[in-house]
Amino acid sequence: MLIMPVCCWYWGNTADRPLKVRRLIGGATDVFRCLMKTLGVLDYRVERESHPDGTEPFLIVANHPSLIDVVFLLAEFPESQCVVKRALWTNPFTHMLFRYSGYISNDDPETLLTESVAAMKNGDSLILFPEGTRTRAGCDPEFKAGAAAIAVRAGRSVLPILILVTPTTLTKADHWYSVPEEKVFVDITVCEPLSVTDATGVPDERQAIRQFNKRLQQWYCERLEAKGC
Amino acid sequence: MTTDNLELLQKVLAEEFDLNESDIVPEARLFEDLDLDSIDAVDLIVRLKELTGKKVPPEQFKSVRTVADIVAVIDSL
Repeated sequence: MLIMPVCCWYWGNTADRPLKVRRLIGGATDVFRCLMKTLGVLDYRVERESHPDGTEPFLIVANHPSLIDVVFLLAEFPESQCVVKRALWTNPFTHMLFRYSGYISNDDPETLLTESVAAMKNGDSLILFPEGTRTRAGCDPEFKAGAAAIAVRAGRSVLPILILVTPTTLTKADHWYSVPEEKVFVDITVCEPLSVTDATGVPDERQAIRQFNKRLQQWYCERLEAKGC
Repeated sequence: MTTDNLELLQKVLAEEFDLNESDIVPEARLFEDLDLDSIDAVDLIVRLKELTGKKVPPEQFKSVRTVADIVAVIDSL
């Protein structure tokens, strides 16, 4: 609440201020996760099956088992754009962060789609949860077509992130103040990119979006099953 | 339900989503009968805004299930 206004004033209303704000957010989330680990509240591991070098923009998607997922994604990909809940724009603790970050609100589906595609065509990576909300505990993720539509229309590959949280915490069914008895372990895997151009012989864009969404959902179900979920 | 808006919607749905106009009847269900999904709904809102100059509020579209429901929304704009 104090650092952000000072930084925004110091940086001025420049074209690269949103990127600087996002880097600040990324740094803060990185500090937060390290602090939580040091204090023994949680432990985490990031496994990298692929190593994006930052030259190619990706649609960074993840399953969404817990409220803390986004902290790890922002820490891993600090320069990326992100689709966030509209409510955070009006929250007194977060409104300055999101007002100057350039993040995209999920308030209006039309602007969400157009702004996301525009950002990706402009060369930004974008973090998005295809489910649109946290996964229901004990169920397979159900992906809405928005992520597939953005990837296909922007012509960008998807970087799938697999997130496992054990024991489950901060799910839709849990209260935020319910602390698990066992230390939480967050297992993050940065997987190989999935290309939208692999869908060959697809007659039109609508079918390409539907096929890619189905493929993405199937990919996640198979990987989660392989991990014992 | 106004006839003009029903005809406008039939034309838009047929052109944008490659549907037969004869299938686009008021009681046709968007998802089950016309095979439209959430992205198609967003694209439809965009196209209707281009043609009518009016934006359908997303929350009004959430309860839409049939062609007649969409016509009722357009009538109310």
